[in-house]
Amino acid sequence: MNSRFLFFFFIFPLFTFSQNFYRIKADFTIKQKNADGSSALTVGKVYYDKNYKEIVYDISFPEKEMWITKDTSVYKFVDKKFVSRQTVPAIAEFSIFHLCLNGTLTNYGLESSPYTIYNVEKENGMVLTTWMPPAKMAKFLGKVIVSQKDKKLYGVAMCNIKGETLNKQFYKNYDSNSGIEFPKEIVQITYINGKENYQVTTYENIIIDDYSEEEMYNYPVTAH
Amino acid sequence: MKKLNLLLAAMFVLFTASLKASTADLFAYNEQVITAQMTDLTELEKVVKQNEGVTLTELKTKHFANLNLNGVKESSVLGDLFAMRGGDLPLGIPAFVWGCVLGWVGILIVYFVTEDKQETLKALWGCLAWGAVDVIFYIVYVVIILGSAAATTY
Repeated sequence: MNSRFLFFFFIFPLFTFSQNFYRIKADFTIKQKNADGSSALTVGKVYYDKNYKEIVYDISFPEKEMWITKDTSVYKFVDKKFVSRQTVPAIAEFSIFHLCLNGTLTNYGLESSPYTIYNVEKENGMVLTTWMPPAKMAKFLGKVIVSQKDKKLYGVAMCNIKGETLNKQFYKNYDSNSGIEFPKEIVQITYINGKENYQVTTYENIIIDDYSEEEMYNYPVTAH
Repeated sequence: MKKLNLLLAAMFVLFTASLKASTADLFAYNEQVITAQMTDLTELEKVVKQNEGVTLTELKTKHFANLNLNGVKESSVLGDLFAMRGGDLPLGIPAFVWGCVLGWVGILIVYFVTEDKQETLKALWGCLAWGAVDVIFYIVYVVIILGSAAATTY
């Protein structure tokens, strides 16, 4: 009895703390096909360390360039030379990388956002949760519906204030790596003027807590 | 009356069921349509992965017989995404110019519109640059005045 007590209250918490992963690296491909006939292919590697909150996209196609998001800035580098900086909303903590490392992808990270649960229902083997924005933001933001299959995030549907679907995302082919569940394929359908634009993102060679390319996880951008 | 109640109950059940189905239907999509739409890009992806490090410019200059590059954007998806989400500067005017022309008012405008320390710093540099130009102009002006006064005296 004493040994069980010792295990559950002292040893088990130590074990679970050791599962606190903080880095992710993967090869990615983004294929985009728009209703206007244009298309795009982007191939590269992505690095993320949740301590630095810096997403580093090292792109090899269509052209060699790096895009780095840190706080509310996105930096572009070509041949390791700084090219430009833009102001964007802080996205790192809502990225798939951060959510997966923290184990909060299941609800798309909405539980730590101003959104609140409005309705939960079960249908076709999915748990469908409707999230509503706070009242003061309801004039600008619509509801978000999250679907889960087998306790994993399956889909996210974002609506405008009229309830019309703006964007749908599907998270598929989960890869279980060191206890981290990471979707290897994300299908995205965006509705623009009633027409569908498609985007398929695939991740391969997913490595958790990689130490081989230390410099890629905290790329020096603050001087720019 | 009983029949009416029964009918109403049946209609309510059907209505509720149709509502539920509509929510679940949001998460149904035709995978084959998307796969078909991506055929050209999947071919391109294969070529890119077989020729590691190849760029779109290089592909266009080299001969790849079966490759359809019509409509393929030269910019990356991420570049387009960030350009779209990028917070514009007030009126699209660079922060440095705001500080340079409007001084501390320009710095405040940049600070409140962008809420970005780096851009605000640029506006401050613009303000200081204009201050420096102002000082140089004043010195040159004084030197010219004094010089002409001295020339008049002698």
